[in-house]
Amino acid sequence: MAIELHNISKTYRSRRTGKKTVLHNINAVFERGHSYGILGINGAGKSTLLRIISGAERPTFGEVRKDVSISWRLGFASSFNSSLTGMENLRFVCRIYDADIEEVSEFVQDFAEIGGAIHEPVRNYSSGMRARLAFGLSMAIRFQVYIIDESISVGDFTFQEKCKAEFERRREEADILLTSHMPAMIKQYCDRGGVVHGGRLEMFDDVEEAVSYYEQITQ
Amino acid sequence: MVNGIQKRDTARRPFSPEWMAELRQSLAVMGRVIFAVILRESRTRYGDSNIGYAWAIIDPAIQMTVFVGAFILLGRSSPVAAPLSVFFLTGIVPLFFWRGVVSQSASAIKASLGLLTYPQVMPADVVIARILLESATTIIVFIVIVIGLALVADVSPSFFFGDPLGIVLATAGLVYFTIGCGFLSSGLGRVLPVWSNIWGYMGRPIYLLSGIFFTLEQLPDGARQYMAYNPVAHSVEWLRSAMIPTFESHAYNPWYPALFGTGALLIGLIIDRILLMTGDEEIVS
Repeated sequence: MAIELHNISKTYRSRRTGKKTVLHNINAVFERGHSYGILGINGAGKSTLLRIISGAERPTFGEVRKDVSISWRLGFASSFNSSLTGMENLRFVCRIYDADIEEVSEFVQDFAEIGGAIHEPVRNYSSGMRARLAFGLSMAIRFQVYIIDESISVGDFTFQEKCKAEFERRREEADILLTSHMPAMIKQYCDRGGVVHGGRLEMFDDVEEAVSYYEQITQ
Repeated sequence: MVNGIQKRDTARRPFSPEWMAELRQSLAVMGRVIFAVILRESRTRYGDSNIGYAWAIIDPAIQMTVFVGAFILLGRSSPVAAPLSVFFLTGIVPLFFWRGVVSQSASAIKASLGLLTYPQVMPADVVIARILLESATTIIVFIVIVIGLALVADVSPSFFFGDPLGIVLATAGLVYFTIGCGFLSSGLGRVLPVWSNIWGYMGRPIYLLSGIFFTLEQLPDGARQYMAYNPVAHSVEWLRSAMIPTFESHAYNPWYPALFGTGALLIGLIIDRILLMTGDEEIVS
């Protein structure tokens, strides 16, 4: 079981700035049972790579093959419809992932601590509430691989601790795919690593090697 | 275990057992997604307005009443030997359905970019969901108005059910034609930002030229020749001819909307494919 990237390229087209190729011909395999950290400076294409892996976006060329269930980016809430209530959005996500609505809503209501607001339209939520709802939802739906873009937790300090604790529990059975520009964070969570640089992805079997390569190119 | 992995594009030998299993799996996912999107859209279709779905009934009912009143004032008789309300309703409802689907499809993808970040939600699912929702709404609207007419204006519902088999065929023809136009409209909406403006301008002429106020049958040959380019007019005429027991038209060609729908569907699907293959769609990040 794995996620395989075959010759992935991504070019954005814009009327004002013309074509911009963010990712060049990327090949990589993310095996089940390992957690991967992707390092890269801001704008290197880390987030684009994550969006392509999670299926939120399609590559210009190439193919992603996967036989594991992959989460949306952790805490990512812009897929919520803001005129629907938190509960209606939750039900929608359960329906498309074939998850038990009862079970998930119980977990999320307990975890996200947004109380009666779950029955309010999401547009009335603060960004923190949205992120807590999205985070709780991605924990409630049991993914095999969790995708994390920079931040592992959301909300204020106490909630962040709660996120981390819950996340540790999920990690017993799930892998993670994390991007960061901070080597320390990658080392804490991942055993394998990669570096995105100049639109290319360099993969390493050992996270330390990835970190030293990253430090070398960013010097 | 989550069952939402999207596997629709994996290439396998066609009709092999794995291929069939995968097809079944992806159809199941598609069904689930469409169902979920229908429920979601049904909550947002008419916005936050308090009248909400009532508007879907009130709007055609008011238009029908106004037209009937105008025809009575002008002293014009019904061209179909059935009450004026029957004549107008059998034109307004299919036109509203077609128009509703094209409008809804034009904005379907732009309004659902957030949704499309879920890998199992495909653009076509959103379009199909909107078409199904519009169909269900249209059927309910039609039934309510027919019952309303029977109660209020003593118009017998039998005026609407002349030839059952013909009605099934004409409805199927209308739905097929409309699905094609819906897919074309959603494709155009994705590649041409001005499409919704163009469509806005087309609304009024199409309204006037689609046979709401007349039948193709009653037009003089010269005028009919031009009207015959409008596939909507054919579909409306076909449906009227099948529904109204006292009206039989020979001025429509059922193949024309079907052919038009096929062409539109193909173009729409090709645009969809190209956008999926190149990944050139705006995304929500």
